[in-house]
Amino acid sequence: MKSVVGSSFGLARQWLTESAEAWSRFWFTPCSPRVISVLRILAGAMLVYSHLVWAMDLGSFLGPDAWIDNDTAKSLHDGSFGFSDAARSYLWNIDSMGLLWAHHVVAILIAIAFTLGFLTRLSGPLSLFLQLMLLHRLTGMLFGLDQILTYCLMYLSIGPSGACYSVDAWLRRRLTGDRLAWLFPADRPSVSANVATRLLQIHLCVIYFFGGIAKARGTTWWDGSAMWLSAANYEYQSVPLTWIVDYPRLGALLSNATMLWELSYVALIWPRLTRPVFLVIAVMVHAGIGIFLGMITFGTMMIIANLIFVSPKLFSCQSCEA
Amino acid sequence: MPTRPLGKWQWVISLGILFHLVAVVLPPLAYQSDGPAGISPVIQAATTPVRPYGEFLHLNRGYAFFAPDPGPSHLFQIARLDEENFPFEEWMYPSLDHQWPRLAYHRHFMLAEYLNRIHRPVDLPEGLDPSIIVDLKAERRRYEYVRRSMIEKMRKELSHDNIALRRIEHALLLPQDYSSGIPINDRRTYQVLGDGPVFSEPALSEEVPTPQDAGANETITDPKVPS
Repeated sequence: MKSVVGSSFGLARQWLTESAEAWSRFWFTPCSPRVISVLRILAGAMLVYSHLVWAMDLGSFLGPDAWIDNDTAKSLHDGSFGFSDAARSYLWNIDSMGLLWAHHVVAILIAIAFTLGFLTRLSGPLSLFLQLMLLHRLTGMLFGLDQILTYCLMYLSIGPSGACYSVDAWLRRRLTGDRLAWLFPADRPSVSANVATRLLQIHLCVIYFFGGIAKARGTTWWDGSAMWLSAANYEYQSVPLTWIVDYPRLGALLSNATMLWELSYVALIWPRLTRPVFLVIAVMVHAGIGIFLGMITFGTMMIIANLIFVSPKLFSCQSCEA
Repeated sequence: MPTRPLGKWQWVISLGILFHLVAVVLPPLAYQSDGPAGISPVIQAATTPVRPYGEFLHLNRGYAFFAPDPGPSHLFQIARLDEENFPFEEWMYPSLDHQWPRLAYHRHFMLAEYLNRIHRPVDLPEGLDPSIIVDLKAERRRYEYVRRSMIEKMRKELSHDNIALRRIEHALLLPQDYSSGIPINDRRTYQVLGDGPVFSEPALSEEVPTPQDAGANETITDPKVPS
């Protein structure tokens, strides 16, 4: 009896030790910051674009005369209608359009700084904070683009995303060297780059898995008619896809494949053998959404986010190493 | 590959990572577990500690894109009414003719979908649990406030007091209907969604023309902006 208990404890201890080692390897193995540096440029550019589009009709979205005015926007979150949440924003309280314009210009400038990699350790978290304030104010006008863009900002703010292809890297070479190493991080593998990479990778898996689960609860992704229903939606349509009505087998294949790809992404994006295939499908799916269903920003941003699974070896940075 | 045991800071960071991952996974799980009886009590209890964190970081999403099935789209129409409450000018939102670039169009599209999503009928079925009635009335008031805010914006923008807003549903064609020659934006596929009278709350006491006044039960004549 004693030997059985002893060996069980031994097995459990060994399992725990191996699990801790695997956890440590997964999260705390230093990784190159090059991929998150590339993502910083692309996600930052999308953030600037999103801010500019808000700015084209700022008074319709922010302030006392917006579609959803300040008081109503606040009431949607502060418990006035029975449900309160932590999605608070000081923008609810700003009635002056002059001040809102000044705030928005600052948000755009900080987003540009983040895109260029200027003082990225500061411009990253600031961009994220200002984006969150906007999102909490703009309830009712948001969609998938805002989600994935915000998540990218969040994780890029954790890692040294300004270490490469950035003004920070230039300043480090020309002025600071190894001084102020936190503010101007070097282009060398780091744990924080790995943590940022892993968190975005896992978050993408969660998005796709639950996207697949949600589709699997319907009937049209199974019977193959979902693609037609998407193509027949006039409000989403950009390039006509209604010709697919003449190819029901193609529509069914695309419907089934989309759902199954989303469901299995969480498992098959990790093995080296299947990763390239899943990334190619990701590009095809999101390019299709962008081209045919009018969400070019969302489709582009999802493709950008999928780059997090690309090897850093694909990106050279000779100037950073010089 | 040999690995050193976790150091003190790595333990702290690991706990932070675990907390964050729980906040990432639970909201879509809660969304999927939401049924007629509400969210699964287990998932609801697990979600409580991370809820404020997830709400602030915009993690409280369901990720149910085009799911469970792609459905009809929803729009809204703004109408200027004359003294006899007859519409003499109408705008449809979203409109590719008036909102550019595509992202601006999509923002208005999402607003129209949001207005439809939060709509609750004014007349509640009999026999409902009192707590459900309280919730539904609060949700109805939310809808009324949002709708009123949208009407107020147009009143100021157009300098015209008599404005109506009505929700529109654009149904999807069956493949055989499309193959028979009906275009996907055929006028018959746009239907005005009905609405009851507004609540007589003090903040909403000012009369807002209801969609019925503007002929809400008729099929609209043209989905495009007329001028």
